[in-house]
Amino acid sequence: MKTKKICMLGAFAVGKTSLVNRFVSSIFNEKYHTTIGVKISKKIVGSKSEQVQLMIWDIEGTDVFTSLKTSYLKGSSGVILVIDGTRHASFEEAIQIKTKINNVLGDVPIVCLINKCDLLSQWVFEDSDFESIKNENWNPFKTSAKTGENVEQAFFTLVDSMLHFET
Amino acid sequence: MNIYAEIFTDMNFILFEMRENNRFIHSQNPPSWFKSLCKYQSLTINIDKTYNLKEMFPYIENFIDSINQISAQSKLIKSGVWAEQISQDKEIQLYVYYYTNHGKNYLILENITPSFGEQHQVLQKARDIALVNEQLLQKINTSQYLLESDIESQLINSPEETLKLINQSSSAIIVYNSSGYVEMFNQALVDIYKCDDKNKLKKTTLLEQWVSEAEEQYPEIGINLSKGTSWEGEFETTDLNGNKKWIKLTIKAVYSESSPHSHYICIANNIDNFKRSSDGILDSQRMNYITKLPSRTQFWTVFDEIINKAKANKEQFALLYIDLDFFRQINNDFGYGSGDFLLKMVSNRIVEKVNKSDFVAHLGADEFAIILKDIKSSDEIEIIAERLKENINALLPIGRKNIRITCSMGSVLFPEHGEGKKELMKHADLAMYYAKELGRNQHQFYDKQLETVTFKIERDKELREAIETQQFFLEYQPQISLQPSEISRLEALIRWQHPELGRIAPDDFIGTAERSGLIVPIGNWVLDQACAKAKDLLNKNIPTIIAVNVSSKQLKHSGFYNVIKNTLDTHNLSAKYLEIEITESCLLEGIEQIISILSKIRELGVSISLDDFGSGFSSFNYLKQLPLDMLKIDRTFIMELESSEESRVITTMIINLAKALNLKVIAEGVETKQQLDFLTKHGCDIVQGFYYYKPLLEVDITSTLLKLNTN
Repeated sequence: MKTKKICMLGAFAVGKTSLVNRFVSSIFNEKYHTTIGVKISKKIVGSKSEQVQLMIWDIEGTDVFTSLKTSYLKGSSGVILVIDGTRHASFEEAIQIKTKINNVLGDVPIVCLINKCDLLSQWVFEDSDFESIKNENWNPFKTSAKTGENVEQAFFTLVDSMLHFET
Repeated sequence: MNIYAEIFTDMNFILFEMRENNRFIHSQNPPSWFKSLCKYQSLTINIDKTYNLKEMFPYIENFIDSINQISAQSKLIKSGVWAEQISQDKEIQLYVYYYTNHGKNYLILENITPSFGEQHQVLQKARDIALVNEQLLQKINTSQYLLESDIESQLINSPEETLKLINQSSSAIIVYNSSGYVEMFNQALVDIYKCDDKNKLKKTTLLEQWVSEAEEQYPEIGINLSKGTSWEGEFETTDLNGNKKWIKLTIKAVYSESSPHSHYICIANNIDNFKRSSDGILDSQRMNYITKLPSRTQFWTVFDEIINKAKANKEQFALLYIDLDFFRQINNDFGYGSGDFLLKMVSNRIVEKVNKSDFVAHLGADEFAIILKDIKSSDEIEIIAERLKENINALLPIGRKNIRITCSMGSVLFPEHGEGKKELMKHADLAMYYAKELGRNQHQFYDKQLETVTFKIERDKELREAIETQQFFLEYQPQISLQPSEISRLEALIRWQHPELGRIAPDDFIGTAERSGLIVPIGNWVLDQACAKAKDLLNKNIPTIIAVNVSSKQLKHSGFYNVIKNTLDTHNLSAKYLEIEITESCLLEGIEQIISILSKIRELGVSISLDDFGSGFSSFNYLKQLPLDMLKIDRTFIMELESSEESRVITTMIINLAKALNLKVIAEGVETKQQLDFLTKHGCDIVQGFYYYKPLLEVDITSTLLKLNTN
């Protein structure tokens, strides 16, 4: 069985760990529990043609204390870049991270999760921004770790891209 | 179990010695947490009692590979924290150390779970606060920009509405007129400065106080205000009771038709609580909030250090100053969110194209500064500037559109162009303005000539004096109808007779006038003179249409329509004798607004001509939308009519296009009989150029037109 490494990246408090928990264990905790360092979770998924073991690296969000350690990206077959749709600053952070991803991994398959789409009243991520990143091939999905909306779809899209990229 | 074994079992670390083939053997009894880890994750020990730690733990594999890559010289290398599951609902936090001694390599795993809770709690709290602060800043930024924009749009024409708006605002606002007198302020300002006596606040020269308070962090604030450019920053201020507090201040210079810098709008928000809680957490003092690049404050600090180091080591470096073109317009057209996105993208594009050892700072708004180290010659800077320009110019998706950002750059070399930070910055700034004057999207080196020739910042002051002491005058160039016409035509052309420098060409001051806002009063003066002349000619029974050039700044000025209407009324001149000429560059920004203004003006009866057609981004799309009467073919095509087949084709196409759109065509720069014959043959309506007349002094107009009409 193939093993593929995926890195979860984004600003702090965008919901990376919650998305992993939703995808791997189908659980969600409302409370914000900040990640320090890295946690690696595993999940076996069936793609169209084969089974793949995903090693999901949930990497501490970036902020003034923590910049992205690009060495963690090494060997990654795909990246999930997470933005908090209620915080514009997380989008700005994502733009910076995206540059680093491209510098280290080149044209690696990527999906971008605009998370917390259940919080409609606080939503600031504009449709025009969505279109912009779509045009830049960020493969965006509006997701909610809380409701599970689009989470599996985003992960499976990435898996398909990774397998396609490999061939 | 012996006592030592028991001690090791309780230890929070386990030491492995590295053997061949990535096998690791532990030199002690494994502690209980390690056994739990192996058990839960079904990790197995090899027959030779070694572990394949790299296979077992992807994190360790990554860590060791990273060490191998950097060929570390140090004896002890520590990883970051990582977490592993040891039961369904429990995880442990670990560090791994790589240790080299006497030619042997070791790995130490440390379980930091017992102390991790405290570390986690501190960071959790810090991030909770940072999250709240981030939201607060998001709100303050947006509201300050919107407020500034609202006040600016209402200040000149609706002072009462402005006062109402200011009084309703929870942000502290004070508005100064150009003489420095307070025109209005609100209660929120009184609250920040703890002043019960409002009259006292009026007398307090708060603007001067702010400049002096902010100057240490933002040495350029004084220059910015004197130039009439906007400024924003965060600094510590002192209220009238002597208490210190942090404020976020924006200062915006407003232009009016009667004078440049007619007002300064200052908006302040008390961010003291935010700053205090953020100490050591969100150091926005040193980092630009949007791009996360070093901020202006940090730039000045680092700049100082680099200058000192360069002086000590006798090194050379360059300062490259970048200002994006038309950024404010993008903010207005696409929203501040898109503006921020753009800044972020541009900052990435800049960082990508310079060396890691170079220093890039985001000075605020659309300004960036780069300190290029190890620069040996100006040629190297030129190459880097060109690389940066190309990268910044690449198409950028904003909303559903792809737009191209351009930038103007100025650069200086240390120590050749100055040894002090303010001097270097001033010179780089000057070079950048020169690049803007030359048409934007280019790089310009500082040259001492810039100080003395036509492009110095002091030109603003001279232009003001020129208005006051009537140093401008108009010349008029006849436009000749190739078909019989009962109405004469002239184009009004401004000239500047400088008392010391003599005649200054329009190209050498119009750019400065546009940048400073002086183009508005200058343009109004031209309009007034032209209408007076048209009326004078009409009274002499020589009906003449006079064309006046109008800049985009004039067009967008809220009072422009009224200026035209009032000028026509003042001279009792029918609107059909006035034509305004706009250029394609006017259409670069806010075409909807331009169309609306032009339509209103055309309804008065004023005709509208599109100048320099073909030189810019000629688009058929806007031609359909614009309320036009004339197309004026760019002179470069006319000049090349005899030598270039391409120019002949383009000229013919423009004439045909104009006919199809029911527009008249003017060709300017006609200097030869061959050019005239070509234009006549292809149906051009009107020609202008030295072949007939150079621009004429006012005293020669009447006789020339009479002669023309007789012929």
